[in-house]
Amino acid sequence: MTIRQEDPVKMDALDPANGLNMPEMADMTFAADFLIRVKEGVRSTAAALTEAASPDVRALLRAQLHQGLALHQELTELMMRKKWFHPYELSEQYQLDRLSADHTVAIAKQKLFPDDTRRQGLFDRTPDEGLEGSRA
Amino acid sequence: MAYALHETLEVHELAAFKTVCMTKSKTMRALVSDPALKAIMLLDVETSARQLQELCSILERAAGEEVRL
Repeated sequence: MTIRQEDPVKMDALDPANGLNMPEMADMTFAADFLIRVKEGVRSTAAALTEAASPDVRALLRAQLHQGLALHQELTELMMRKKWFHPYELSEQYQLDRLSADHTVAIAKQKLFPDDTRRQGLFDRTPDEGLEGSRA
Repeated sequence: MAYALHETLEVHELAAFKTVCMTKSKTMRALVSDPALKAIMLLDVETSARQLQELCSILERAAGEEVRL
């Protein structure tokens, strides 16, 4: 079986061919998510620091801001070393972003779960009793 | 030492954000296969846990003051 490049995830979710390069792609996604969280942490700590008046709060937030910046540096260096992140080559980064966007769309189109997800008898009451099957 | 109300709220929001981040790092670390990324995530979990304790100690002191108001 050959996999066409323009349609990377064309089979059903359980096909092992979909697992090709999956650990690397998953790690890339986790790293990107981690980077977003670290960046947001630095920003909100800095914003909170500009609102702080008490000296001990200022000192604490200042220390945490520095720790956040150090973490960001470490993560950015790792991502650049792993070629997950190309801040200097815009076209490379664009290709990578396009690829992951295509993958995400392909995964979103897949049917990952069965229609009927009722937890029959697991709860003491059924909140959606009037609905049936996939609508429940 | 008295804390301003807006200061307390800011610290509270930061603590809520850090809690979510730490939980996410902790749970996602199990799915990561790259050892270097795993190590940084573990570092983040440890740092965040310590930072949360620091933020919580400020919130506790602020709550102690609130009772006197």
